[in-house]
Amino acid sequence: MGDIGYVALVIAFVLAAYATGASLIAVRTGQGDLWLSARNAVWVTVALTSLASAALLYSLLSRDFGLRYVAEYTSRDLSIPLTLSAWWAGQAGSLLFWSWLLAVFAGAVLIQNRRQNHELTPYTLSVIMAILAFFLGVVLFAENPFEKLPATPADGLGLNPLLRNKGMLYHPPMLYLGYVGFTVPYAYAMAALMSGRLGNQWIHASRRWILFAWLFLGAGNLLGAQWAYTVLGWGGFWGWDPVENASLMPWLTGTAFLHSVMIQQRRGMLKVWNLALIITTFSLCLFGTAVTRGGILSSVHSFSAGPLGWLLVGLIAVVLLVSLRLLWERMPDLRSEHELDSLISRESNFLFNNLILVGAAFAIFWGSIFPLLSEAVQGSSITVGPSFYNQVTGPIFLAMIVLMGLCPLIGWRKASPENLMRNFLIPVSVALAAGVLLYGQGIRSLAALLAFPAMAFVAAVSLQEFYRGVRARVRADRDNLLWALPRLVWSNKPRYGGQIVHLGTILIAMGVASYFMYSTSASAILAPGESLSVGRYELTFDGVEQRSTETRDLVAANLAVTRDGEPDGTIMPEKVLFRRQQSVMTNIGLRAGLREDLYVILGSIGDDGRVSIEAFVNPMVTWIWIGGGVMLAGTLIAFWPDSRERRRALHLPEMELRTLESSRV
Amino acid sequence: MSRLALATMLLMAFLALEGSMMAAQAQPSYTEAEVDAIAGELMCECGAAVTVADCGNNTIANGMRDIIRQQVALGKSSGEILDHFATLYGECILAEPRKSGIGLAAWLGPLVAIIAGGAVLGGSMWAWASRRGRRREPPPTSHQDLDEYERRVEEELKRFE
Repeated sequence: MGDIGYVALVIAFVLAAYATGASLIAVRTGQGDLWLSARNAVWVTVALTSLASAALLYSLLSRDFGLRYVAEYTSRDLSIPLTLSAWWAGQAGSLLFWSWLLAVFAGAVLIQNRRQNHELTPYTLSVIMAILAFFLGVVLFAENPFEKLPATPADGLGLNPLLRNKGMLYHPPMLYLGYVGFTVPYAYAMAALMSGRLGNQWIHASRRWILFAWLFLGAGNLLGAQWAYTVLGWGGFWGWDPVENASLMPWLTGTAFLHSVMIQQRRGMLKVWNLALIITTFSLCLFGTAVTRGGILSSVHSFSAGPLGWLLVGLIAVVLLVSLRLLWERMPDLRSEHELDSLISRESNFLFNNLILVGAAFAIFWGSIFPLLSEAVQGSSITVGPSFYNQVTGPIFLAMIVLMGLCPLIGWRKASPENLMRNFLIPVSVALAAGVLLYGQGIRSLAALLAFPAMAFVAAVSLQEFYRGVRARVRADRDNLLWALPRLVWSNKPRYGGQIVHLGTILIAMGVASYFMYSTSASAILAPGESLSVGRYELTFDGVEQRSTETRDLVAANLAVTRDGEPDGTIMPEKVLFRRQQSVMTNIGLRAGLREDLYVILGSIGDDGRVSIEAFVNPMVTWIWIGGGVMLAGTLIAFWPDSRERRRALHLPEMELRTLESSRV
Repeated sequence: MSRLALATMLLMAFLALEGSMMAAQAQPSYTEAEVDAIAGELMCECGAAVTVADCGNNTIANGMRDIIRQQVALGKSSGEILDHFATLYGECILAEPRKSGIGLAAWLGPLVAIIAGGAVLGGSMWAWASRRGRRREPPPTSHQDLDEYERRVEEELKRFE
């Protein structure tokens, strides 16, 4: 099976390179036959990468330990779901996964454009297939998942114990869907530059791809945070590690892009900026892959090192050089169709929102590469740890929240004083009330007194939008109050989907801010009968329990919990020894709630029966995961096909279409 | 490498209870809050890319905590203790760059970038808006490019407020 997979990859690589050139020549020379041939090459590439992926999955499931990759990442004791997840557990497999996703996306672009965008599609495909050819080349010549071992071992090494978790099934693929997904809007942008069709066509064509990639990158980050929180067992969910930073940066610039394209759609402005943003976002996606898979920055998550990192850095350099050169050449054709009407307008607000989002991404990038820079300058590396990021990004994120609230309140073009007064009155009152309430509750931290009222302000803005819309519907259309809200949301999915995303963001911000400001912890070495107090909890150590399974030994500390002096069950953090790998994992004791989580880690166990225990009370962390669900729901609503959109596409002339489309977001 | 180091460290922690921490607990001539504050400014040598404060109870983190306790007990200031660690392990042991020398560039980089970006943006917007004003373009007609639904909401609101 390995041979079939390898041969499929060789042919796919050749065809991807062929499709790159053929698409480009076909569109430049108008050769319809060549374009048909290029499209066929894309479809065969999709089939061949699928075949290679199926061959790898078959080898993994059939425990073909003659293949190095299978022997290194699976073992006979591994469950079937985790065996399948070995596809992306190692470098070579994950690069094949990257390539397969990109090939499938290329096919989806062909389907999406079978009746439209005939001028853009060949260029778009050419860019996607060039990037695919690069990755297939890396898989073939540097990281071959079908490499054979000289002798077949009886069993494999098995998956790293840290990866033996259900999070492994969905967190990496989600991040990859995001990283790879941003290739498509980037390819559309390049197609616009190459073809000279610099209007909104490429933005219309890539809108859903942008949302798709943004959604999966965000969801991947959040699920990674949840994995870190519940599995890695160090008490937190975000450690500002280079790999975490690398996946947050393109999400931030992607968020900026999602907002700034609205200005181009609506007003024909910021064309250069939008192109620069998508180039940056895609480059950051490649940078993220280089950090994660290539180990170019020192990280607890970097899964390997080798030539891949520097190959990807080379690809980033090529992408930047070619893209910026194209952008420079087209600069005279990218003038704005309109000018800014007023400094107080939604356009200006969006621009500052962009500044803050890109500024946050830059701050994180700067912190991530500073150890390398300092080493190059002074010969020794300077560490940039979590406290740096917390101090630097905290104020930036606060500004982002405030701008998020301001944006929907300020009208397009020019906001009148009446408009401002009417829109601001309730949200500002709510924010002030929240501030007074918190002060009354004894909160004296300036950060908290700024952050939480700012969040209340944004939430009030979003809820006010819904309230006004529902009220107007009830009064104008005589809608039933119960049905008015879903009908309102359905009547303008991008707009209200976006507001729901804002509400989800606020829930996440609330959880994150509460955790960073008010998390408390305590640690102690306890003999049986001794207690540890943390927050309103007291934990009394009642002894250890031991059990063994076929592959591991588990030791749990039995801790009786009292909350506010009342007995409240037990919590049992564990240590797990994986016998074969001789590695120890921590299974935390977690009692999650809407108000706070009780989070307990078993540190070590002494021969005398004493244990070291570390306990945290983390307020409102559950709201981070709930907020993620709300964001997901909002994005899906914004993503959902809209019948009005289709009708307009069919019947309205382009200018009119552009005005209507843009006004809806 | 760091993953291996983490696993090895945990295994060591699993097998041996640290006597040092208990010994240190017997002579509290400092507060644990002081120790925690300094532990939060030092990276743990275990390789897990977390601070000593976040690293929990393991041999390496507890060893570093013991050094902090000894230094605090000797009456040394936070800065002196950080210097002591930097001498022992190199500058990379500090969890954040110093606010002097080359470390200052780490702190100022994002600030300068955002201020410069804001200045360029603000300047361009002002030039943009004032250029438009000089050309005396007709003011935007009300609801010119609001969609039908938005217009209805606005009208309803006016009628009822």
